[in-house]
Amino acid sequence: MSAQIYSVFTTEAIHAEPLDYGAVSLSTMPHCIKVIIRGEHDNAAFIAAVQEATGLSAPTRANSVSSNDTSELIWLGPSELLYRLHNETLLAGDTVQRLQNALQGVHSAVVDVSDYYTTLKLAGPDARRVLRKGTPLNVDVALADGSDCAQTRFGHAAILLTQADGQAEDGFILQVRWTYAEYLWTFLAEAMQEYRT
Amino acid sequence: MLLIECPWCGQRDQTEFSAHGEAHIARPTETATLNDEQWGNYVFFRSNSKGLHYERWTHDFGCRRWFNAVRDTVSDQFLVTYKPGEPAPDAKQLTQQLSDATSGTAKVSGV
Repeated sequence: MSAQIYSVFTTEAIHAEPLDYGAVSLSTMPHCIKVIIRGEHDNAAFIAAVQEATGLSAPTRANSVSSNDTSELIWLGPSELLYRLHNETLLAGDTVQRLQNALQGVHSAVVDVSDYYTTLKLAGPDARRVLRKGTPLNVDVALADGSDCAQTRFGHAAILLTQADGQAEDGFILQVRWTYAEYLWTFLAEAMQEYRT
Repeated sequence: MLLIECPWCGQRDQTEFSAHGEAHIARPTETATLNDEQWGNYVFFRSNSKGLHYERWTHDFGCRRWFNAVRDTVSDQFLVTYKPGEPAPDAKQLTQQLSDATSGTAKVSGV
């Protein structure tokens, strides 16, 4: 038993099978395109260009996400958005190019951060309880709605929390700097042990 | 647990923030003509006040933005937080607010 528990805390475990404990599960998400778009949100030309290039309405409320089936536009700050695109055939560079073309002449910056972050999915009825063990965030208030997101802390790792499929019940997507991915995985794996059935 | 109101993204735990010293310290404009004492005053000397203190903070684990706060250095209570570039709240009014709160006549907002 102890050897079995220990194995979920190793680096290899991150790329291996998801941890499925019934009431809570942990897995890595497939790679997706991630692009940081900087520009003042009160600049109408900036918002219009972003909406045209992404096909999404820009999130104007702090800590919110607008999404469709394949992409998300996430509020990171008053002058910063994160665009996540789930598409296995598109190249990140082409997506950046498309955004830069749309933003031509508008005060802005577009940066590809696809490989800078790893995304983990924590799902199941006990996912909220596991999440509460590592973050000071009031999860029930901050993530009450499916379109809510939050940048916060989990242990020592800075994370971006969104909700899977825009549904508050389905689970959480944790985006973390890849150098912290092992730390986050082992922290979550340990936190999940008590909910093992 | 101390909660701090980030003017950009709302109320969060203090461990998401870090403090960066006194706010509203303007860099001298005539730098070429300053003597050592004037430079020293600008670079090193701070008000170090007991009571209301205007200071700069960043929301490191959240939106990563800067903001200003007025904090009571005696009780650690945050009286108000506001965005950079906004005028500093009036100290007299805040002191009044604070004394009202401690005497139980009013509640301090934004805490």
